[in-house]
Amino acid sequence: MHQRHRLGILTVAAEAKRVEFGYLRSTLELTAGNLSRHIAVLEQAGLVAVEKGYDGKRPRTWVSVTEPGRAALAVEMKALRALVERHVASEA
Amino acid sequence: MTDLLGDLAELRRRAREDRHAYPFPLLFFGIASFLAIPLYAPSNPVVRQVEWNPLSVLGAHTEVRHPLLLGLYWPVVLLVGALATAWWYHRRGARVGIETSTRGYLGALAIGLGSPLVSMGLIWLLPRTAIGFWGQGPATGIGAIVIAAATVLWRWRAPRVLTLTAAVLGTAVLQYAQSAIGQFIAIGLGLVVLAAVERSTRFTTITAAYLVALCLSAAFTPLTLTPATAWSLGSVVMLPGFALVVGGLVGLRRG
Repeated sequence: MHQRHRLGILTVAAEAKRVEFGYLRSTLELTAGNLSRHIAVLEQAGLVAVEKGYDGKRPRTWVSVTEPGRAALAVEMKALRALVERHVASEA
Repeated sequence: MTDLLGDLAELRRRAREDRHAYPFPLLFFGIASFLAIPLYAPSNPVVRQVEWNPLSVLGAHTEVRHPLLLGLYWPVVLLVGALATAWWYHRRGARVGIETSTRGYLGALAIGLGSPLVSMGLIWLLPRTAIGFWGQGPATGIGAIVIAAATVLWRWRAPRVLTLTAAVLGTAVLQYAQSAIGQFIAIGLGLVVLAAVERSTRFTTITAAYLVALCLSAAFTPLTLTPATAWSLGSVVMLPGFALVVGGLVGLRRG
């Protein structure tokens, strides 16, 4: 789960009940194809759940983070912070 | 690596800002507070005294002209406000593309609406026990401490039964002690949960200001002034109502 954009998807999704595909695309500045691939990988790993529906006649895809996804994000963030702290300590 | 952490923090900040929708419940309940003032018109002289009003711990008074109407007004406002807020968050989520969960908020308001039943049980039961009537001061303190404990349990993700029991008991004791502002206690409970879910410093500050206004209102409103007027009886809703409206307008202005 080290990929920058996948971490971004999980970070945004963890902040809300669910996030729309278009919002993720514009926030992360990704193409639809790229974002789809990242979401598919995360979904396969059980880190996000994807829900497809309609808002009126408009098809919408919603992404929500799962409990394992939330836990994986917490682990990843902790590891990243530890790395930064170690890097800062080694420079000092 | 530092860049990555910075980027993620920026994403988090942006997501939180985009999903904020809190001005709606603040304005809804604030306006509803001011609309309630005519219902606080006193009955001079007292024509019809209501012996037992099951809704009296939700801001009702027995000395007003239409006690049952006032008793019904607040539960309806709380119920409609809760559902309208959930709808508003859902609609905003669909429009912006990021949706906040309102499950906890609805649960908190359900506790605020359901606790009066426990309060009425306490009012009936306590005089029949060795404890007798609880003084307003000690009961307020106990209720506030139990609610604070429920909040800590909720943040610690303690077993739901434990959190729910503490929340219901704390709210019930607080509404028992402060029945004139029972409806605002229910609103406050909902706002505290919503502020925690929204993770907004501004909304948390507004909620804290509202709670201070609520305490001041409970402590200094001239409920026993004679002769009673709509203003002396209804002034209990003015300060919390004002805090809600101002908080809503500040939220609207800041986006």
